[in-house]
Amino acid sequence: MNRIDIENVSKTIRNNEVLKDISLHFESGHIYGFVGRNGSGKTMLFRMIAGLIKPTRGSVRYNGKVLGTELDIIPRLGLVIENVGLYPEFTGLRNLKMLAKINSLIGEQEIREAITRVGLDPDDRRTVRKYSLGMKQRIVLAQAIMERPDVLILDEPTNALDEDGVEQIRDLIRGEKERGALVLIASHNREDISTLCDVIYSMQGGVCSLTEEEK
Amino acid sequence: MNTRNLIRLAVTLTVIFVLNLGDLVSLRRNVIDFEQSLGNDFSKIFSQLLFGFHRADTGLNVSDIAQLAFLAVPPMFFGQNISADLSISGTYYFTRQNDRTAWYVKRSLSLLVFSLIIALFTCTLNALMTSYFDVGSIPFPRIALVICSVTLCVYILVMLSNIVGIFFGSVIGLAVAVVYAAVNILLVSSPIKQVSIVFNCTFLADESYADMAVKAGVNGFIAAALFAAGLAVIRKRELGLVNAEHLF
Repeated sequence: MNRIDIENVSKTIRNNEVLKDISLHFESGHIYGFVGRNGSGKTMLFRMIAGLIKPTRGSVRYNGKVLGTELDIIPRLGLVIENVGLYPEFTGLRNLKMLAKINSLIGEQEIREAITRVGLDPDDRRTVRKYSLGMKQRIVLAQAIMERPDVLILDEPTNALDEDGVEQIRDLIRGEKERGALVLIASHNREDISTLCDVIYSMQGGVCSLTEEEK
Repeated sequence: MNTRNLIRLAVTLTVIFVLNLGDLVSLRRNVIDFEQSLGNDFSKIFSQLLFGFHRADTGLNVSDIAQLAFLAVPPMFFGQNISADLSISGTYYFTRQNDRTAWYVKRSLSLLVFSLIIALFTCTLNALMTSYFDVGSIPFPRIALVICSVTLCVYILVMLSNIVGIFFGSVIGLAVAVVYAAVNILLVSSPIKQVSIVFNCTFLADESYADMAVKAGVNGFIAAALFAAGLAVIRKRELGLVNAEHLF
């Protein structure tokens, strides 16, 4: 059972407090949803949980260990962050191979399977630069799931996808939950959140609270 | 060394070769230097033997600056080696890489190796162009000190481009490295020439080992300071807040 504990976390950037005294607890086998307008702090919170940025106050713990001091990053983390891409001059398969090589947890077969699971062709010779927006979103999702992560953080996972694509990705996320992963999702798509998530939080002005229905 | 870096190295060496091609074919530099050496102190062209400089003691002339165009070439091809990982897919890279220090040290060492290869290539080219000077007569430790200084000079420019590139993108990173190289070229004829990484690559044939070691040491100190600054940046860098490059 993996666990993330966020304790009284605040983040200030250039005198602007973008996250305000947030305390949350997450456990594996659940999907947690975050809704809120642009700039409400969802992505910032996700980056902090992923260990990419450090809190100004408070702490993020993974299985009891404080991120940034006892632990650099969450081990076995799958991440999709909005507006962050892969190397545009390489094919999707090559990009994923480069990332998989860092920890050598999986081989080419698993990478190919992940690409297929998101509805892409692993043998597609086009570079990522030539992908459509939907294809870019899918390949980024493939990199997130390919190593069977314990924690999956998905910021707007269904952005730029058509209806079939959205349904395919929802099934994929449900599969990750059933596998026992701890899943965090932020989405503008209310349906994504309501159909997938066990617990839903609302973010506004850097403050996080349970939604009315959760209360 | 991955394929991508080997291609970069091949292109870098080719560009440096092309920049020197005119002189190499005509051996013009031989004639000029020989005439100059007759009128000046023959020993002063020792630096030119390995680095292509004229009159290291009095500063550089226009033709020297043209020869120094090669200083801009390594940052052009290796100036994004570290910064690209942080800027482009850094978010996905560093959520898998749990030891940023090890990653940085590995990358920095590979840049040092590339700098050494570039320095060796450049010095060899210049040695070929001044073939009247008997390379075999120069003691190996002297050659090693020259190569060391030139390597560190190239390394400093490449690292500077990378570190600036992390904050402001690869284009600004390259521009800063080129401006820094130009400033160091101008410093060669200034009273504070000892801090110039370019001056520290110029040696006289009769220069003492101590002076040569000091020059290499100054470049080594600047390189070490830059390495330490880069490490601090990498350790503290918050990823994903600002993307220095435009993606997709």
